[in-house]
Amino acid sequence: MSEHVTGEIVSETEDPADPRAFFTLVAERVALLIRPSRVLDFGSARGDFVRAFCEQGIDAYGIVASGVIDTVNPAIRGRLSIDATSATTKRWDLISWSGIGEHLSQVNVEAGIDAICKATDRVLLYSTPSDSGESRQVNRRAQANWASAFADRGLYRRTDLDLASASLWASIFERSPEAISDLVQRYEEWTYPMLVELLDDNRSSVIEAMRTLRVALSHGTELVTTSPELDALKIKHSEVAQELQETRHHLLTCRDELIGSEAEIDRLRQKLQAEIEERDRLWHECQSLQRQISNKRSSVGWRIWNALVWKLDHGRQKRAKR
Amino acid sequence: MNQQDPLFSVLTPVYDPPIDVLQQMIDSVRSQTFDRWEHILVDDLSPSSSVRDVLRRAAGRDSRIRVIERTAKGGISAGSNDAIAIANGQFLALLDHDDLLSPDALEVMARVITEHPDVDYLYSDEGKIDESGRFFGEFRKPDWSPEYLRSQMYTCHLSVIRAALVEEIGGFDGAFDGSQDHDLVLRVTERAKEVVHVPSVLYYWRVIAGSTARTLSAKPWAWDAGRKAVQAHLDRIRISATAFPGRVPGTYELQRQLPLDYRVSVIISTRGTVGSVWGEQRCFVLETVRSALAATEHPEIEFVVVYDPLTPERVLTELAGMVPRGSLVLVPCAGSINSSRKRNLGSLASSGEAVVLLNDNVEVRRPRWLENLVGPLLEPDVGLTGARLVDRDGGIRCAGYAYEKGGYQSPFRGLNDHEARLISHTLVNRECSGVSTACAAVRRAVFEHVGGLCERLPSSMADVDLSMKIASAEHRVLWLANVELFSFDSFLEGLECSSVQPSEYDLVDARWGVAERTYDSYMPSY
Repeated sequence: MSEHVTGEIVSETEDPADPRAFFTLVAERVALLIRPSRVLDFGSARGDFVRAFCEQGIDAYGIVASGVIDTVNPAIRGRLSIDATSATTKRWDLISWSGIGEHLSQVNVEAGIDAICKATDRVLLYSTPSDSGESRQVNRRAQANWASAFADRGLYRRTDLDLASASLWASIFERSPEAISDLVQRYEEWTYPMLVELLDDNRSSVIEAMRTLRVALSHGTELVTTSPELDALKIKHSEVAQELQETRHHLLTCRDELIGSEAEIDRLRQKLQAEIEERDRLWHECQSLQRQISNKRSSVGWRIWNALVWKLDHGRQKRAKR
Repeated sequence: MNQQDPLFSVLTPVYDPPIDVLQQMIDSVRSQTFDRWEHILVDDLSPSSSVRDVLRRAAGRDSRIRVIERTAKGGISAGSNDAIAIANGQFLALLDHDDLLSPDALEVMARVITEHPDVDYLYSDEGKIDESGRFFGEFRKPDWSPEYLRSQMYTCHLSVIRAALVEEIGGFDGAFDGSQDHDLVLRVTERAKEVVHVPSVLYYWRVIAGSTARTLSAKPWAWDAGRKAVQAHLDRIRISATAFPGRVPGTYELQRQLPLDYRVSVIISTRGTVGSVWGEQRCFVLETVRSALAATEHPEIEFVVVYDPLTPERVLTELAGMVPRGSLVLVPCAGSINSSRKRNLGSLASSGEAVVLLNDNVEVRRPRWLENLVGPLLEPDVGLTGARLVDRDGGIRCAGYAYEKGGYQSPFRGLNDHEARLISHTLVNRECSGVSTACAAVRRAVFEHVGGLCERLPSSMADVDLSMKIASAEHRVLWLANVELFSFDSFLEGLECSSVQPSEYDLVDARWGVAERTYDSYMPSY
């Protein structure tokens, strides 16, 4: 690791009110779950983490900023150093990457992670969330981003180790030769039950929140204080609302009448069309009959018949006169 | 007949039918009055060689008959797909190996195709034929009813499909064997430009032991395959619903999901009437609201109660205590017994995206009523949905309206529960011409677009008018069998709703016609 990496190390913002108690909690949990023999704490601030690991019987050392080495507890001063490069040439059961990356530039962070991943197969990541309010953190990242950086170097989260009782911000990454499918399965087995639980909870929470919101809104309208101006406004509002309602009602009934009238017109139009078609049909029939009649009248048979009828009539009249 | 007439490929997968039945099926194609057809028969390795003998003889006698003999048994879908692969026709007609076409089947289909050049799928009415050759059981089908098809494979036979579309969707899917035709028709109709019902019996289903025509319970696997096909269809067209087996074999029930933030306003007009139900006195509106709330999980629900001045104060107080705070809107309505006017005023005072019209004398009988009633309104072309209303003994009170026989009918009214179970129209969701607004849901935009309920129709004729208005605006009207409510008589509501004045009848007749309505396109068999 290059020298300038260590130059930026400063104290960290921890989540519990008492930092010592917090480090003790995490160290206890780590000792219980993975029992490391040798631990290196990167970004050790005043050596609290080193002290806490030592109290658990672990051979722990720390890398601190040059400005603080003289201010730390003399009992552990011998376990602290500013020389990160030498420290990372040795092998460690666990290296703690506790809140240091946030203070480093992008380039230095990558170099730092490279170095510690060569020196160990197991990393305790302690990262403050992005909204922690720590102004000196120039390189805040989400947990997923740190996890990705370690995954690039072959270290994946131990989903079976739970440090949540000590801190939600702490997690263990370990080198693993797992196939992608095994890795995905392990992550799914870990996250899916939480997702289901979260969604189930959320669904009922959303339903409850909607009900609560409605209640709150109705309370809100009741809680409005009274004043003469407000009363007058309320009366005016009520009158306008009433007028608006009547107008909307009028509009609704007008639409009904309009649609009803359109339907009636459509039906009448269809009826009219049917009647026109019937009239046309009758007219054509009539024309056809007229043509048949005139054809008949101009035929030879018709004329002979007419002549015969005339002759018969004429004969009848003659006989009648006689 | 001319060269513009379509060429039909009649497809018949064959597996071990009785020889005489197989011969009759082939003869029914050969004796068609229309001659632009080819008949492709695919034998799926029938155990009896006489089946193949019959097929070979038929192919030898008529060059329009082609036979494929499979060398490995592949099932009905594989056989059908083999036939599709060599079909030359523009339209495929599906014919089972033991059924019959009526002599004019292809002629009628050709005529309809000429009248509807964009049609992609046609289905006809059908009948049954028993083992002695007797024709019976005519099934007069409704016009195209997508909701019905999701609940039951009603189009069935004779189905004629544009060949290019079948090719586009990849033919039959063997994963749904047993209900492969239901799956195919669902996929076809998802993409079809036009679907046409041909109201003539052009096909006869032979009822033999084990045949689906006799009993679907003989093939439970076919029922399950059908349910899966419906679910796959719902998923494809993004309808948020789950398909379950229906009340009787061969039917399916859709349970719809409603987005949690979809606001629904339930409009109830009341005067706080008290009556006796099952030997107990009850205030109808309180039981209506109680049961409505108990049978839904939907959170965004608002009750708008339009109340008469005669309504006891106690009833309003109880309502306020029953409904979640902030979810009750009380609208006083004096001096009117006009139910349509009251409901219109209720809708104007409401804020939901959907409006549910509910009588105050009902009781919800089945859970998830609101989700299932309102869910279909999420399909943009659905305008109105209505419920299955039963009397206190479970007999049908309203299963949708039909407009035929020179009037407005309420089909199946009075059938008891046992009788109703024999008629699928009373058991499954489907399109219909009208629904009762004793329990109906309508999208607010549609309700306002058509002018709400006609206030010149204070009685139940307003239901008819509303349904007609919404249908004429080209929205679908659905009757939903799985939204079930008891509907009780109450003396005053009875006075208000049941007595139709002649003037109301005349008004509806003037708008929509009565006398000339002789045929209801969604209830032709009624």
